[in-house]
Amino acid sequence: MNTQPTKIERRIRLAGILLIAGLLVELVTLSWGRPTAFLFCCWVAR
Amino acid sequence: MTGNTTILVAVILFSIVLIACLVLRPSITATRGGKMLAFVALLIFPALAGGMGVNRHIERSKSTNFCLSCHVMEDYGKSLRVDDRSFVPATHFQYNLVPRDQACYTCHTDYTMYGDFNSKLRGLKHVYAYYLGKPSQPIKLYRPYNNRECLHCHLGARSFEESEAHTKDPQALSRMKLNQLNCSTSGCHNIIHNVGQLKDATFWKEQEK
Repeated sequence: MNTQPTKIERRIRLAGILLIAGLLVELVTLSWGRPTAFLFCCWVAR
Repeated sequence: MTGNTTILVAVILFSIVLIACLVLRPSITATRGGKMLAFVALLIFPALAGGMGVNRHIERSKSTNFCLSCHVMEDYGKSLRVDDRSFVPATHFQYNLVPRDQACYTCHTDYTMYGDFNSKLRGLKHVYAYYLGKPSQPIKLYRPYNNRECLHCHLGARSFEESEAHTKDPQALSRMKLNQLNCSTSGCHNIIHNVGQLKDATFWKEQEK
């Protein structure tokens, strides 16, 4: 049985990891009331 | 934490959980249900969380604390508490003529169709100047203050329309309304933040409630 992830599965995994990282940054900036937090959040959303 | 922030945190955490399922078991996307989950987890929820986050930050960027969080704005924050009614911003702040928690934004936004957007763009310029450039000393407005921002609240008010100083010259009121006679530079309400005078000033202390 082939257990190697396919190309699309590898891409989904990478996209998921990047999205989780972005969401964690957004979560951190929510408790941070300075202009840099605003910039970080905009950058993540982009 | 406000209600909106709680909802946003819940959306972010729920998104992370959904995405984590896909990261751990990407093979589930082979099924029809898995594809739908991937669409919701990788597109819908992150877009929702991103949009809500940006909106939350834009709302927060209107707060007085946000504006005064930069070191260069400290004196401007102090000028709101000068115990002298001739200081226009101090009077507005202390007598609740503007909401105290959005005092800077209330007077420094443009009351036009894209005024909020333009004021946020100017804010980005400020961030650039603060971190990568050099803020001008003293800080100056990009353009002369427009009476429109004052008239947003004062227009139609009896204190404005029937004031002796405003009605002495029959042309004065209409010139003010057309921004031909500037409220802040025509010699009438010209004590604005005047941060250079703060060292000799006395300050209002808000009483504890």
